[in-house]
Amino acid sequence: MNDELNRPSPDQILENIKHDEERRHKGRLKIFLGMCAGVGKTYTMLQSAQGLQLRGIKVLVGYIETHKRAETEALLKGLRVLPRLQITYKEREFNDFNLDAVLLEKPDVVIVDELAHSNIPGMRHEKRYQDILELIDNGISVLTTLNVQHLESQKDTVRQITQIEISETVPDSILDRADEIELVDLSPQDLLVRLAEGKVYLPERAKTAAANFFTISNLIALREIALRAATQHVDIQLTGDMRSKGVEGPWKTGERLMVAVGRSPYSEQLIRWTRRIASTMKAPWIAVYVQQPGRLTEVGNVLLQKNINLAQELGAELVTTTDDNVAHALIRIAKQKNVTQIVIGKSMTSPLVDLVHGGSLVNKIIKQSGGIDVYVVQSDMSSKSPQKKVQVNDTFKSSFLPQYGIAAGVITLIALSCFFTGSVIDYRAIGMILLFTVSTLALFLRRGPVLLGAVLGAILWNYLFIPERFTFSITSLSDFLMLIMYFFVAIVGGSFTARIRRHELTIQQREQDTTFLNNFLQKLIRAEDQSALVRLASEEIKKQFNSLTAIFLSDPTGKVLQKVHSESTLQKINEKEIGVAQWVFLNKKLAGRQTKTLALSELAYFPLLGAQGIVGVAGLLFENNKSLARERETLLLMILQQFALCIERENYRAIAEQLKISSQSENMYKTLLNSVSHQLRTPLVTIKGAATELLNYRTGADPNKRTILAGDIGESADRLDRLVRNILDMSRIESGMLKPRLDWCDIGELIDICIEELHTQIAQHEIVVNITDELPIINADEVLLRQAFLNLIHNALIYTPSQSKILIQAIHTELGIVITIADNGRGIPSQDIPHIFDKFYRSGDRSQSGIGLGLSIARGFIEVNGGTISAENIPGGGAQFTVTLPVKTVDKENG
Amino acid sequence: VNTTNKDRILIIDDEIQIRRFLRIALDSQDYIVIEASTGKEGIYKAAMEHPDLIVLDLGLPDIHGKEVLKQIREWSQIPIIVLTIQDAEDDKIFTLDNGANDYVTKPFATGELLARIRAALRNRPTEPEHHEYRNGYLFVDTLNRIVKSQGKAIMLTATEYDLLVLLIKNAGRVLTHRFIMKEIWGPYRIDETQNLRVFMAQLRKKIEHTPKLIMTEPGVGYRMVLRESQTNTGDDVQ
Repeated sequence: MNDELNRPSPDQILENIKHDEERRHKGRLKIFLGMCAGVGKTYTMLQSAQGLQLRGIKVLVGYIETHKRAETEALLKGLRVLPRLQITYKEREFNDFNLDAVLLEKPDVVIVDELAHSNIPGMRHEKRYQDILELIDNGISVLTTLNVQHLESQKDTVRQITQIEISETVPDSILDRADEIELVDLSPQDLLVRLAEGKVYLPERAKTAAANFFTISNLIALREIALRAATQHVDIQLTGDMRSKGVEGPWKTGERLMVAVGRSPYSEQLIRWTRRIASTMKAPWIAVYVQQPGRLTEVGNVLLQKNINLAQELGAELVTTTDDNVAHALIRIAKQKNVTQIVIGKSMTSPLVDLVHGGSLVNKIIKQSGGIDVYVVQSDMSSKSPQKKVQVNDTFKSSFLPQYGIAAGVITLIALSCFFTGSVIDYRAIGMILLFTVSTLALFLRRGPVLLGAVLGAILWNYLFIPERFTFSITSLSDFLMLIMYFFVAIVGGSFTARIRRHELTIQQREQDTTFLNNFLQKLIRAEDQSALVRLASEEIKKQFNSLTAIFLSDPTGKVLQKVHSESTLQKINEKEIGVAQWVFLNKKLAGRQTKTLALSELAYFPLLGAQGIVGVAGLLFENNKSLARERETLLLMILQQFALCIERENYRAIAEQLKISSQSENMYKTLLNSVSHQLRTPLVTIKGAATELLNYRTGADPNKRTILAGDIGESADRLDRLVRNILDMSRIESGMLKPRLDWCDIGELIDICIEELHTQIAQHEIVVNITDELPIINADEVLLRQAFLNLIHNALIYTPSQSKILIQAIHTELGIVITIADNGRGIPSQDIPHIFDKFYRSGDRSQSGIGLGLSIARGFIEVNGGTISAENIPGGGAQFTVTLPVKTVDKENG
Repeated sequence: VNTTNKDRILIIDDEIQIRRFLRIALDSQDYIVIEASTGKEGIYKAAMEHPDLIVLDLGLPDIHGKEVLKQIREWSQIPIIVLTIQDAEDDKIFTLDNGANDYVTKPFATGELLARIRAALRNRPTEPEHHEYRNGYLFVDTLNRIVKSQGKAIMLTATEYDLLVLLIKNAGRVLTHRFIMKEIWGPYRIDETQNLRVFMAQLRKKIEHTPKLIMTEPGVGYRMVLRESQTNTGDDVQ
């Protein structure tokens, strides 16, 4: 063979690496497998645990059943045993394995006995093996025990051998998940000796059964099954090894099996059978569900779901398709998937029904299969659960009962009205009328009721109309032929019409779904933010599924699930339910009602998976706790998926926005740093220089120089103070936390304070204040307004040459109080006017000190007080700033 | 200035540079300076050394200045001047309402602080009540209810008069809006400060000339500034 071809491809290598990576983060699973109780699995497991502990590995005993056997209990010495979880269910106390305690403690290895155990309702998972898988996913290694008869695929075999129905089963895939399987073996003879010595623990009620169970032949058979399961596992490990070394893949046979899954209880057996064959052939297998028109009943849906889950658990690839013609659909999928062998059950329907359908399913498949082999498997009647059967029939009947009534009623009515119209109409014409009625009924009713109508019509026609009337006997051969023909035409025609009708319904439903999805997508795309998306999705789900939804989204880090989104249709969620949502979020798996995890929750929880990971969780509350039909579930999942993708997209957009903002603010920081470092240094240089000069004995001794230098220090300090204050003010505005402390203030008074405060700088200018006495007092933040006016006046002072005139006016208008600060300087360069209030923006002339914050602070403070500010040049020369502040009327003038 | 019996001033501030220049400034005015660098030390020295006035920085390393103020006020009425920062209006109001006599905003010129210290020492509760007040061009005789500005008698409404008397009795001190409201209008209308604004504007129009006597402390309250008295203004009346 060519070496080139045998080398693993990059993809394969990648997959192996991924596989290894996953394994590394995950805990390891070791199963101690035995043929039945009493072979010493627990004992061996504890021995192995003691060994681990000796090697310094942190071992925790999570759950153990020693059955009070002294030698087993002795092995517990030195191991930490976790207290069991106390649970009350239906007013009875139970204790069970405490999963959360182990997850919290995070030991290296945990011992959890009895893998096949079923948990008490109300615990997180339905079965203990799910607890164990969660432990492994969280990086905790697990030692556990399993009897071979609890394997899902061995259930039938074990029943056939031992006549005992096994209720607690685990999927075979758990063996594939195991990193190590240790077979705890004991010869049947030795086991029987141990049994006789009373060393095997048996529950009281099982003692009688035990006599039948522990026979040499049973034990030999079980031992063989156990040995085979262990060998198969060795095989799988080997192929895994082969893959990493580039040895040709495990499916060298090229075989591929396919099995149809339905809601029938026999489907379960077919699935198990296929899995067994597939695994001995080392072939992959596909489970196909052909969704047929019309809706399944509640129970039918549950059974179907159970079978589908079983197939998936046993490792099948699941394919769902919609088709009216099952045989056709199966062959189509088989050809698409290159299936080599199809497994179908022997038909349980009567030959007559088959005839109506143009042959039985088996025959049709065999006819169309071409090159594909077809296995027809006999259903094992003994395995059917009679209880379930009754249940199914009950619901089935009750749900269609009205339809049967309508069919019978209409036919009877037509027949009777013909009867009472007397002999006006020929009895052959009446036959045609009845035939017509049956065909018409088929347009509205299901097949069953239509068939009932056809049969009833035939009987009534025969009894009431065909001579001899009022007897079932027919004298004329042509009448007899007519009846036969009527019968066939009614049945075939009726059933065809019904089928076409159903077909139409499916197409309609599908079209509705497609249109709905399209519309939904359009709306999603148009939604402007997260809240809109959540509102849209939860409302559409409410419309489509009549279900309230609680949507939880993850926070921007993607690590923490937030509270229920305020736009969800369901808001009240208790702590326990939130816990379920959290679990779903962390494990990215379904949970809650209708699932195997935390099934006692009120809601069904779906992870919202985007392309890159989980973005949230949707919890659905179905009306009257109804379950969701399979075909509806597909629609729901599609809705949720699209919704998740949109949320993810929205998250990315928010992140991009954030990045944009931060890059903007980074630029701003650069400007700030450049500007501030210069503006901060200048006064510092002055202070430092003046101070050192004052220390100089000769300068210090001269009173004139001393005064000048001290004055410089003081001025520089003021400048620094102004700078720091500006920066602090700006950051207060930027933070968005600035809330005005509203109080009554007098604008005239404020302007006076400002002028007072700036008096040293005003010396070189002429300031004229012209404020009317009648200005109302306004409700605003005095401190902020004072700073705003200080900045505006200061701005006018520094941007005008000395001896300039500054005019401050305030008048009361309809808009509020309008304050103008005008100067007769050079004015503002026209290109600067639009940017003059931007922060760090400085007019072209940089001769003035400052960092370009004064005006933007003034604007910020005025806006926070509900006012506006604008700047313009006065036609005669000079700049004018106009501030408008709203006035709230004061009720009383005097107190 | 009191020289015979030197006033003792306790400075509670954690910054050594600030304490140092304050000591120099106060020494030059003949005050005796006691220093404390933490709040606890300050409370201890306030009790042990019996200072005549305390300069308290609000930003202390161990306990907040507000707490120091409250603890000292539990047993002593000595004047306290608080050093605070810009924009800390809440702190200013809180300390004034909790017994601080005055505040000075950092950074400050020593002259400003010294003026406040003088005012606070002058207003010590130990000083006897008197009925004639002079401040700059203003004269108030509370016994005869006479108000004169630049020698001219001024007619005031009852509320305006009460307001003026309150201010002049506490000349040099900041009076918070709440304090003034409570004193003039009683405790039930404490938040209706629009009346205060209106009356204050009217009062100022009637009595004020240059230089201004009533200063607005934005966001905090009002202060009547101490000016050199023109002693002759009041004497004309008598």
